[in-house]
Amino acid sequence: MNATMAVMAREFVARREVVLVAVAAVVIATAMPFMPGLGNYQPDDVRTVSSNTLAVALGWGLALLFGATVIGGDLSEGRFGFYFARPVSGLAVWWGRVLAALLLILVCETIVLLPSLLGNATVLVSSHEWVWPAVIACLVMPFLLLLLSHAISIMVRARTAWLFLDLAGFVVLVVVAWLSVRPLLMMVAEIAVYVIAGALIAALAIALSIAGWVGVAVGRVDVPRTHSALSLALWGTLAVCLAGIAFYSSWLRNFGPKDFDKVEVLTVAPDGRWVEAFGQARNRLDVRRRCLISTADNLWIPVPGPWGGYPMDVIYSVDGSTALWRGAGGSDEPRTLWWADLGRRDPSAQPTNLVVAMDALLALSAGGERLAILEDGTLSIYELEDERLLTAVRLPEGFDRVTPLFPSEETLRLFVRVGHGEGQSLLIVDVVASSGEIVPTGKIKGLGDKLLLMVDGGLQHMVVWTRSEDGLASDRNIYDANDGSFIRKLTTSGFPRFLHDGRLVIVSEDDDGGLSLVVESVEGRDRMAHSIAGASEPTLSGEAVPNGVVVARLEDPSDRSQGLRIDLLDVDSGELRNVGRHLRRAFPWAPWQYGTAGAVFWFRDQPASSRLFLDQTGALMRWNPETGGLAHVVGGAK
Amino acid sequence: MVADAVVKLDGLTIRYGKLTAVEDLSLEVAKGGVYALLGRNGSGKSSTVRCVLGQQRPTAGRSRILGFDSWKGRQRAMERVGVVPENPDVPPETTADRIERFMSRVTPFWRSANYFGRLEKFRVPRKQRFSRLSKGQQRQLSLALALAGSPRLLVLDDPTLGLDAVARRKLYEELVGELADRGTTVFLTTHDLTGIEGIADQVGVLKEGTLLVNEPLEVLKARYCRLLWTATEDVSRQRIEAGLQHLGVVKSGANEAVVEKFSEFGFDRFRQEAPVDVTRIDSLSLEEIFIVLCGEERGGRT
Repeated sequence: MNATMAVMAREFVARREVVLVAVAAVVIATAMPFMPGLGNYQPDDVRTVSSNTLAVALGWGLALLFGATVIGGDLSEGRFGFYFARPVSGLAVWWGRVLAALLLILVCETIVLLPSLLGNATVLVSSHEWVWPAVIACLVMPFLLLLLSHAISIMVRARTAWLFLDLAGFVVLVVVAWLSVRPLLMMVAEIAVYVIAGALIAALAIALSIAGWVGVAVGRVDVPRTHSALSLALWGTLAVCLAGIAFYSSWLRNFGPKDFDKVEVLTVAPDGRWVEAFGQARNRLDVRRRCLISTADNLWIPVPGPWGGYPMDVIYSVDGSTALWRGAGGSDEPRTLWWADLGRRDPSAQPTNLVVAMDALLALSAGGERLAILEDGTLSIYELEDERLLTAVRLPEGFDRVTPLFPSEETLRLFVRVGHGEGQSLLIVDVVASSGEIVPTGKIKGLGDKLLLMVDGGLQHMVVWTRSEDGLASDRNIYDANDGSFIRKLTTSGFPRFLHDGRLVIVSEDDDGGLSLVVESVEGRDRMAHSIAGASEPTLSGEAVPNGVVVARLEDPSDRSQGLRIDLLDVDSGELRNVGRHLRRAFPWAPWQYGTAGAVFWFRDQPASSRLFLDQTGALMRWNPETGGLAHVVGGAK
Repeated sequence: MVADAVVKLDGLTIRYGKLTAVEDLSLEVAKGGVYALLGRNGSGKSSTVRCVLGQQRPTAGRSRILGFDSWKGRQRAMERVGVVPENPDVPPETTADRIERFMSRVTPFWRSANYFGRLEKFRVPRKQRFSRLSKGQQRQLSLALALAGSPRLLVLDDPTLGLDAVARRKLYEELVGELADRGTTVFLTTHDLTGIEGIADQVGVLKEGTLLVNEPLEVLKARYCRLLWTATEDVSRQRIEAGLQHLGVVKSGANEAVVEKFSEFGFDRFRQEAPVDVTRIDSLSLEEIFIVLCGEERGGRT
């Protein structure tokens, strides 16, 4: 240690003239507010920005300079024997010189930062947010640049055949780093990306430190031998570190539903058997695995993602037999379509040859045999199994906000918003799958700019909810979903939902403020109301069983962490049956989640989704209508 | 084999890629002796010195100094080794005073008084940058650094390089005085053959990486001499040549020859074979011996 300190002190004194550069920089930073063109800014701000910028630039510049000369210079000029003719270890020579360079850089940076430090003293004392960025910019980066510059300097000065190893090692480093980080980026695992990136930087710093030391200790006064020792140590250490990081990155990503502790359900197949879920596992940072999970057995299919903005990427056929999703890729890259036959005993993800943009609209027919793709104004309909193109038609001008739904295998129905502002209309158009013929079937005029469309399961009726520009006034009208003919205006307050048999169910507020569940036919006949008075903040979920809807209420309005009390309400008799307590809905009902940007918002009821809950430990639970009990699916505290 | 060898090289081989700088070099330097390793430029002297000092790892063979393996035990060995390199490697921006501060922290047997005393004696300015000192002053500072720790071994790699004749002479005289007092072993390489003739005990001569000679200087000088004779007509040239073979002829002319194995017995055999009138037997200087050994015309006629 004494020798290290002695070398450090000697090297520090030898290069202390660079402090003059720092003094010059601090003079420049102090004078910056008086420079032409900067008079409009606060002098303190200009000084702070100038001194911060100059300090970082000087620190990084000195790091590169010292790295290139502090050892390589003496070595190539034959002066390195001075240390090796003394009882000083290679370790002391290496660290003494590196620490001296680092200390000089820090001293210079501190001098240049003086105007910034003095001008912002109160802020710096009260807040500590600046600490880590400052440590990274003023210490970590110079240290890394110093080591990197030293390694490159030795490689360039020696110019031995080991350069080929260096180039190959660099390529491997970049590839492994990218392969370790990219999947985590694709999974939007921000913390994991930081951890892996940090580990890569730390590995690089460790490997460069070890390599520098080994180069000095083994190469001593011989430049080519220093290069060979440095290269072997650098790439050897990095190989071990990279293998560890790649393994850790892989371990972070590769876990299955059985490892989940927290589960978030994104979509549910209409028959309720398969769900698309994000799962988080213990000790895997913020990595969330996206997969299709069978709630009935232990089957699961990995699905790439997540990526931001498109949570509803998996779509299902109405019978729940087919799932379709976009493959992994960059945010603006076209994606390969993948699908899975969920009806098989061992379903697996199958890539197709179809590549679509992220903003392409997709629809599956009820039985999953046919796929519609609407992209760049062209509608294409395929047989999914063999990817045979049935038809491709160019849609008329103005058909740019479209929602495609299959009422039958032979027909694709398009709900199209046309026009703008108050004069906006909704067109209903059928496309014949075999011929591509476009058949307009209906038009609803004067809907305004803000509309929400809710279609029943059989595509027979729809509720169109329009709102005024200010959002204060709203209308909810029922239309025929085949020809757009007006049926009636919905007078019952609250947001309606379709039951399986086509009736509407609404949680409605009475004139006296009480809440009741109203059931009525589309035409407004056979109205029934069941009081759910006393319930705190009741919300309506889906139709878990025919004519039985799930009603959720807060267990304790003063403590939302207690979760929900879940009951099943028989819409005919008004009878309540408890499903479970202290639960959360696994699949929050939010219609806007089902929409597609720029198109019509739509919602097709998914009754099975209302059978899924999360318990207090985060486990996904499935309510079994036959037994009335809750069964564990995945996740939760082990 | 030398008891208590301070420097011991055993089959030392140094290669740089396909180039062999030193081939199977073995030698020993006795305690208290002065060993001069000689050779032309590029003969492998500096590579050998680097291996001896543990600054370079030999391709094969071993080097030991003061009982330590030169490579593995360099740090321990250097506590008692003083080094004057071929080119002064003291950091150019430093001063004699500052370098003393460093040396006193890393060298266990450092004696500042020795160091400053020597600088004073040779009038080396203590506050001046090393790069601004004259070559002689730089050498003296290097020597002061090497000697201040009372080394048991002093390694000098061509210490008089670049010095004028007076400075060279002073350096050697001064060195002899110091070493006589301390009993320090010296291992040196030099091109200044005249200068070391008076101080070297043992001489090794490297030629193209191979050790041609390794013996005490007195023995070496006794072996080599120049014979001058007056030839008579009845003694043929063939008889003279045959007679010279008993003395290990290196070069021969009409009336003179340089021999490398001179002995009384050999001389008698030469006289019997070729009864010429030998007028003079001159001993050769170290420089002449060196030229004989390393010159291009070995075996030719004078």
